[in-house]
Amino acid sequence: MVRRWEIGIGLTGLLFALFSLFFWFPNDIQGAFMETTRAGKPEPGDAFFPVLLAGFIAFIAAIQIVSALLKRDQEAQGSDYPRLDGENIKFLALFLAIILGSLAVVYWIGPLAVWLTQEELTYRQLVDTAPYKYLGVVVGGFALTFSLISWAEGRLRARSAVVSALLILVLILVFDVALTNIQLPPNADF
Amino acid sequence: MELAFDYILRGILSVFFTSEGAFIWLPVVMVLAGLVLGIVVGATPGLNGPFAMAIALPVLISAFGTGNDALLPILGFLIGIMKGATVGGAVPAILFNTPGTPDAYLTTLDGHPMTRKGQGYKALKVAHFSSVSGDTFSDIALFIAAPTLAVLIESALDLPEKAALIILSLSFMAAVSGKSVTKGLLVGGLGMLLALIGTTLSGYGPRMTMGVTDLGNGIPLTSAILGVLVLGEVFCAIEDRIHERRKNRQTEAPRESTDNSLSWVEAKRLLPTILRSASIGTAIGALPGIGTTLAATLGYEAARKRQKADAALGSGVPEGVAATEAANSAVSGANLIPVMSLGIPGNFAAVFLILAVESVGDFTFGPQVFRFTEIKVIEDYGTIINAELVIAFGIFTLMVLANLFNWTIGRYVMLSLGILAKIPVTITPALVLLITITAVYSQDGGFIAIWTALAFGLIGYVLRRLEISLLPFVIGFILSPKLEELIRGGFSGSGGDPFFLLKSPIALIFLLASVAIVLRATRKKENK
Amino acid sequence: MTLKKITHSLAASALALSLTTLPALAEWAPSGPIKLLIGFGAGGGTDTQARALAGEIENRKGWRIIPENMAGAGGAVMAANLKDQPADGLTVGLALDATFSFASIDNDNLNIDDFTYITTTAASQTGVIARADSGWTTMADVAAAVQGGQKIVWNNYSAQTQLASEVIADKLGIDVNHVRGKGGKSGVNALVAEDANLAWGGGAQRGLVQAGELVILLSAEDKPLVQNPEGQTVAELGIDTTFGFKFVLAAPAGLSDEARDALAQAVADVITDETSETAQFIAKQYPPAAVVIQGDDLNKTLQAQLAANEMLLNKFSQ
Repeated sequence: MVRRWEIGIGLTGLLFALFSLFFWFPNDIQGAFMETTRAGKPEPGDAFFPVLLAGFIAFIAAIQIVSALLKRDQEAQGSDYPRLDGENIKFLALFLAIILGSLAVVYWIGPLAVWLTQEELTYRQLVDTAPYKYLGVVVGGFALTFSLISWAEGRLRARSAVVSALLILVLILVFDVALTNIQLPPNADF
Repeated sequence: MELAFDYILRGILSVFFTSEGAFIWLPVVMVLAGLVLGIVVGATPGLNGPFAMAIALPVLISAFGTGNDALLPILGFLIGIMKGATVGGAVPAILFNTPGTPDAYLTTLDGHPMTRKGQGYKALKVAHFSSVSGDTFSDIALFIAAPTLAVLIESALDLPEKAALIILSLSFMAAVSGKSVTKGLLVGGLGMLLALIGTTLSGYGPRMTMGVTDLGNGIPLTSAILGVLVLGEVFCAIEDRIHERRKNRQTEAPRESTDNSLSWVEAKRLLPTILRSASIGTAIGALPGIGTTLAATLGYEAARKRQKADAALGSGVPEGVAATEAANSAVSGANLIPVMSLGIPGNFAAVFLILAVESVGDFTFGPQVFRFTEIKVIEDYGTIINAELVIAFGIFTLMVLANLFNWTIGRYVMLSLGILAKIPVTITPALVLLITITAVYSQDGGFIAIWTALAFGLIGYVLRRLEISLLPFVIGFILSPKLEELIRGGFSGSGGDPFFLLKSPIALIFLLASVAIVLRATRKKENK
Repeated sequence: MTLKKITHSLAASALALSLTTLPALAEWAPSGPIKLLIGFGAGGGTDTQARALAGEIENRKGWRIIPENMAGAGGAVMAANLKDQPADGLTVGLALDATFSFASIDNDNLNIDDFTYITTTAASQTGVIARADSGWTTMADVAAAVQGGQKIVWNNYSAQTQLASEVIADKLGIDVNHVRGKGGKSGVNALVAEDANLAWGGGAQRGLVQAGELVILLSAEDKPLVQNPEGQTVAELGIDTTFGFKFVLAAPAGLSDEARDALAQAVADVITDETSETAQFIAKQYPPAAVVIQGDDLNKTLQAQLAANEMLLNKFSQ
């Protein structure tokens, strides 16, 4: 199993390098590997360094694979070796769902409130107006910290809510009241 | 020599006076504030120094701007945090047997037994005394070694030599790879590749952006680094908490402390232990990427070898606390030797100092910093001077200030923070997550910053779970754009000679040294 | 600092009072905060200028203006982002004329017609510079050095300056090696570090020229540079295009004329007032003074530049 992970890591690197060389770079780099200046001299283009790097990654990945293949004796080691198992994936899925859900609230709650309460104005015009500018970070930020703390503690407690609320107050004081010319999420995106 | 003194004097003055000559408290206050915050952060379970530095950086940049005048206050605060956190980390380890960092684990071995014997506050005082001694020792080594090393390396470097020097720096990716050199180089290469997104030198417009307009100027640097270093850790911490909850682990309350004194005689008896550990920590710190845990382990082992029959390490003796605290604190100063002379970060704290320097003003770390340029004053323009050297001595001054504060005020702050250690570790990661998201959003101006931080957080999480070192990734990410510019410049500047790197003897030496470093790292790993 | 701000705003309100007696030039006012995208990184000349301007318009007009840096590809990254914003006057961007009239050539993301051009603010002092200890004073000296066998490395901070270098080298009949740098200051830095013999300066060279460390060999503007009043211009080399740049404030295409003119007027009020911080910065960094070309005139100027640049590129690649 240890060896399978060692080979897997190498293969991932190799596939990434090949994907970059044969798909990503050709489609996403306009410049060539080498170019000729209008004065007729060769010069490295925008693809030069990325291609060299991808080649380097492929080379190292190949060494990783070969050396894992050669080391048969490691097979005997116990079950406690670094890896990602089903538990990790389950955690990540739920964790990312909480984050993305909260960020969706951060993004949409302000515009939604404006849409419900204002006739003429849009959120774009109110990104610097209280209370609208605080809605995203207050509601979405609270959803994020409260749910994560509750999950970690395995229960809902008033303490978690108070701590989350206090943090958001501090964030508003620092990033909105004390510092001008910067914006709380999601206000810079409108 | 006179010139050197002139620069040192200007460096010291730059901390206390503005460029217009007015006296300012700001950098001094910032050092003190950072130090207090650092001790608090270190004493809080689930937080650590690099976390606090990471989050403070965007806030500081928003507050002070990116002008040259902002650099010393910002660095002062970060250096304060760095030094404070080292000291504060001993508090939960000693009082509650809950080490916040791996190296603080060794502090628990003797620190917590002391608490159980009713000597909790004595142990804290020992920790403070040893930690600050070790730190001061290490700083002195830095002040001497960094300029010397830089002067040795820096000899009118041209484009090929500069490119070769960066390659040499990158070869340290192998040295900081931890268990596997190939895996380290693999993620280092990945970091280098991701850093090339968006940026380009030609007129063709952004490359490798996958159609995302917001990536036109590349992946936002701060968001990416905070993501991989801070959010990756937060992801792991939250997952660990959930697992621990299922196992239902409890920490014990500390016993009332009855023996709180640390007399001069006792302190003096600890000095040999402290000096030995500080030397070990300094030597280890000077090598990029080996880190504090090994220093603490070696320091503790060295003390164990010399222990006296009546004071066996592990039974709760001050020597045990002193040995680990002096060693791990001595790493931080010496760690800045490769940072200031080569621009290579040796640990996470150093990464954020480099990031601050990259983002603020037109100062960069590297051998050019210690060039003693002749000082010329020119009317209506200003002074021709190596401003970077002045800043470097300014940074040294900030470090000395931080140590002075640590010796005096830090002790009282540390002793009053036992209460913080009770903060449940279930709370802090979630808070850090929201603070990070808000901080990167305001600095990099948009959701692209949040997506970047989360994506890099995911990379950090996977690398941590696979126990692959993160430092090669970060080093690669930071150094790669510079290397591309130098290689393309060197190539074109030589008139299209593909072997331009091999035609300069100095560049050739650097390249050979790089190969040697990678081979050595590989061999060392195989012998284990 | 605070006191200075208070006196500033006092002066501003006094000015506002005196202006209320005049007929209003434009009725338009922004319906929310204005986001000012800066096409270059924090700390540079464009950034300093934009932030000073934003602060002073805020003080004078009471409009909320939030500056935000969006660097990359000589303003083109910002422009690509700007063109997709609503044309309501709440998002504007400061970049260079070359962003719209040069970077847009053969660019899938950028077209000159994607924008409403509001006003220029200042013009560069672009020229070819060299270290003073090179002993050169004109491009003829450079040509002589090349003929004498010296190898020349020329640092270009943009695609446009690289084209300019190639055109100039072609005119002089010399062979040089071109190196690309990043950012307007990279040319000056390359000269100081002796990584290049020739470089372009757009304004960043001012201090070092003043100090006698660098010399200006050639003006890329239509007249000699302020710091080298007797110097040669590109026209005198037989090149009928200039390579200098102006700062241009733009909005997405479709901005109403009313909004465009009100914004242009707000900017002009600040930069033509010699007591304003912005005007003083411009006078120092981009001498002699602010350059105000607005609305349709600006649009025509940019279109003409684009045509000239396209012609130059075509002629030169054949």
